Amino acid sequence: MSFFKRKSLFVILIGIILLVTLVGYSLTNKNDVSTAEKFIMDTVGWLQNITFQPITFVTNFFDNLDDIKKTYEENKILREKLVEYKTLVYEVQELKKENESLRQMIDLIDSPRDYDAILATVIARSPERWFEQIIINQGKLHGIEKNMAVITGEGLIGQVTSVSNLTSTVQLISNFDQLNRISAYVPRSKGDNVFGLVEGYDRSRGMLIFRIIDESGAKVKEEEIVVTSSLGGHFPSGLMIGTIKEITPDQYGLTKIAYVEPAANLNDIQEVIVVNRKLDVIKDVEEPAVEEDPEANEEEMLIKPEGETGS
Amino acid sequence: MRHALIPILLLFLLAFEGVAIELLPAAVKFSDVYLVPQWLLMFLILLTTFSYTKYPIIPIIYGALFGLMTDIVYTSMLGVYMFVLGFTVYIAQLLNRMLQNNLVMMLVIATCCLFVLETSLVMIYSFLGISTMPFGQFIIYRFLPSWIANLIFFLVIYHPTRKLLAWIDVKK
Repeated sequence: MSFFKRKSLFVILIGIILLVTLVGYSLTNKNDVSTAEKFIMDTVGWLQNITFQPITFVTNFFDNLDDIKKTYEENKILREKLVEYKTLVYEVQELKKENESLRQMIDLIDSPRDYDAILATVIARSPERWFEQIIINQGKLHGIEKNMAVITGEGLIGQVTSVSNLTSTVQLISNFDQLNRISAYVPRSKGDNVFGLVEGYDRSRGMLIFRIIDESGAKVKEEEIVVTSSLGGHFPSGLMIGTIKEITPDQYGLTKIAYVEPAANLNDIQEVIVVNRKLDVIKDVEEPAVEEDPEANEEEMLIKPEGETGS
Repeated sequence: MRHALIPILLLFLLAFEGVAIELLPAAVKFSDVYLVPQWLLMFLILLTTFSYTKYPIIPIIYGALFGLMTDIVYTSMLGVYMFVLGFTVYIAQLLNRMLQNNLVMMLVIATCCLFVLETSLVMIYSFLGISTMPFGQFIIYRFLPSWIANLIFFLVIYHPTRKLLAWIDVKK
């Protein structure tokens, strides 16, 4: 009996050592996913995928029954909207053409706003609720890379943190920490955009913390919108993040913090769009020599068109 | 050969935990109440009680292995579930030796193990700066709802798993 106890104590000690080592490993090594991890993520993702499909088929069927009841009324409203929409499509096309020709005039090919969209379905959510992560059914094979932005129709919801061949993990903006801040700004028509960083999430308020870095222009007001900026190096410019609800000075009184209500509903996420920006993505943050060029370009590109619309 | 069924079942449980959370209605999913499925633990408790009584280390190894897989798939912090799940299965074995193997006592064991698992998780995660929930809130909003949900799951799988494990253990 005493032998068993000594042995189990030994095992527990080894377990604690392993725990500390692995936690240290995952704290320091945030950049790439090892092959073993990829294999496990793929296996589990595949299982989730094949079980998720039939279950959603059944639940969708019952949802559809509900929808049929509302169809007639919705149809009436939608018909009216459709008429408006047709004229809108025409306008958008004209604007696109105009935008392209204007861009050619000033030698801009890829704007920081342009992106390719990859559609994906959410197949699982992390049951460990301290981690607000979702798993989507598109992976490396479908062209998804780490650090891409993930949006729904309403706005930004998160960022891809790890990619396996068939699935990828998305960290929601409600779980962002100091390590993955989003560069963002408050767009203004006159071109005096207010830049800042989305630094984290205030759980008790249910809002994002937006630290205003540069407030040289006009002051930020409530109900203004916050969108992503391409200066972070990974996101395209102009993805909707949310609206400002509250502004307070920070704890040292040096900068201001705005609380931003996310535009997207972070609970009910089913279909998402992974955003692959057309502008070159900065691959390595550690190599400043390579990095300088594209960043300088971006800044120019970002300021130029907005300055022009103002004048 | 029949023993190979156990890791396959555990793998399915691991995959379904995430799908189950996603399929919860939105009202529950994003309310203040945290429902955390710990199905792996529920199955491992039954496994360590009714099977492998001669080799108590095997369920612990399963616990550590699938804990590590939970870490990889669902969290970005490796090692936490691995240690905690293995440790909790060990606690379940200690409790098993003290208590009898009837359904009521099994529910008591499941409750104790859930408590050990959840509190050690919250302790490690708050130490790492991931969870910021005060302990009182954790008990009310996370432990109690998860406890009820997991006990329901436990009751559902109790008899089928017992029969399955007896079938697996049969000598040919």
